[in-house]
Amino acid sequence: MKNFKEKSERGESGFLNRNCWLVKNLNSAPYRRCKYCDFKFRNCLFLHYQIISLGIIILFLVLIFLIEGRVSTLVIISIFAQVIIYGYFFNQSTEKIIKANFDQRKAKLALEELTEKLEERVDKQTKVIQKKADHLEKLLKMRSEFLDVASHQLRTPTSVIKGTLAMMKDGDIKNLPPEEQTKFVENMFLKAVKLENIINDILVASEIDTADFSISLNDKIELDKLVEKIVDEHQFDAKTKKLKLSFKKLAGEALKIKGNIKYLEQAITIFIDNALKYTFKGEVKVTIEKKDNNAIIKVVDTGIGIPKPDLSRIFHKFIRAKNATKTYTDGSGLGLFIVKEVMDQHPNSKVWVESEENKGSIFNLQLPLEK
Amino acid sequence: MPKAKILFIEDDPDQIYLYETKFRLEGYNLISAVNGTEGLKIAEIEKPELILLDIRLFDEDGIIVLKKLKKNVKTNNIPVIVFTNFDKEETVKQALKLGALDYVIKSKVVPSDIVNKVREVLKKV
Repeated sequence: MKNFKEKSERGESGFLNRNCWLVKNLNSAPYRRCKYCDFKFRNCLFLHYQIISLGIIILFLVLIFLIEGRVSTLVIISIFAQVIIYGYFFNQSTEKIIKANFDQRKAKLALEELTEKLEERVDKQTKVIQKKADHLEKLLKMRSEFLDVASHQLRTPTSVIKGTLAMMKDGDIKNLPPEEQTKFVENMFLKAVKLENIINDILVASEIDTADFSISLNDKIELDKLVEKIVDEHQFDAKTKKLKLSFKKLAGEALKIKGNIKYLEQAITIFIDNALKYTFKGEVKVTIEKKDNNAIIKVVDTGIGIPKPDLSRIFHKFIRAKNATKTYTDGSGLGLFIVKEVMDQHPNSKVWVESEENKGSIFNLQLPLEK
Repeated sequence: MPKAKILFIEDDPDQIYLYETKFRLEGYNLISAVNGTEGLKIAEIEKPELILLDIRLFDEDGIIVLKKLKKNVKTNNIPVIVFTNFDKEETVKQALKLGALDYVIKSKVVPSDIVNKVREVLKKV
């Protein structure tokens, strides 16, 4: 590398010094070049005039010699001839220097251009790689967050079940008054249900996460019947929380759709579960409406609502609204993600939410009616 | 001899019920706080002999609660055992560095284990 640098500084011929005044002058831009000798115009004229004027002097001296026949004239002629010959050679070598210099400049420019292009490409590639690295880092972070959250949520019910069973084994519980014993059994049962729900969420979410996730959409579903069944199953939970849970179906018309009954049932269940979980007073209303050729299922609650900044992210995996995390620590952050993915699998269907913090939320599912 | 008072800062009512019963049966007085703010207040007023602290709380991270407990001159002498299901190496290190006596994962022990642990700590104190 050092060798190359030295060489390029000295020029191709090896003797050219960059700092030489002649080369500096020759290289100073802007300039014109003589079309015959490729010299810079100023130097070219100088050399050409010099040679021409010396030539004229020699001719003049030859004439004097021919007329007067003096030997000293011959000597002067030979001196001038020598000057011309030197001038010519000087011209030639300078030409070489300039050419070498010109080539070197050209090569340098080409090299600079190439370097610039390479830098551009490297920059572009670096950006792509950085983007991928950021994405991977984000995925890894999400994965580790998921593991932290999932393990905590799986352990919480497990620890209550295990703790209660250990106390039973130690004979602690049989000595308690009957109502306390019942409470222990109830707690254990509720934790087992919670554990089952979390496991289900995790299983479904991992199923959805596989690249070739697709569901069959061949079930013929009577929406009213399906929603009514799910609402009925939640009446006990609503009563426990002293909430009114109602279902209003469309009068006089059975709404039929085609889709996957298992996943749609899960999606509606998640909506109603959430509404009951995040509502502390008031009611949860489930309705079915018909609009154009679509059925719209609405789950309306008077709960804590969703803060504005969280609204757009609420259907993302592991994302829970800030006030939801504070209200209910055991959520997996997977429920609404599952709903969104299930609806994405149903053609011409959609899911959306309208909500105001501290006032309540309306979760909507829209599905095309079967003709 | 009066019953030793233990403060359990925990947001899950089922856990509170379980450990309240167990500690009562073992001769302790377990009082509880359902969030960090309440926990800090009760710790200051009630001056418990020991605090069992959860990490994932409604309002605050348990680590912040631990920091505040250790900063406050009225509570910084109370031994704290972190008692949680949140198992993250970084959090464990942080808690121990902040002065927690131990970091116990609930699902890995049974109630009698934590009672024994508390008994051991109180004996040393």
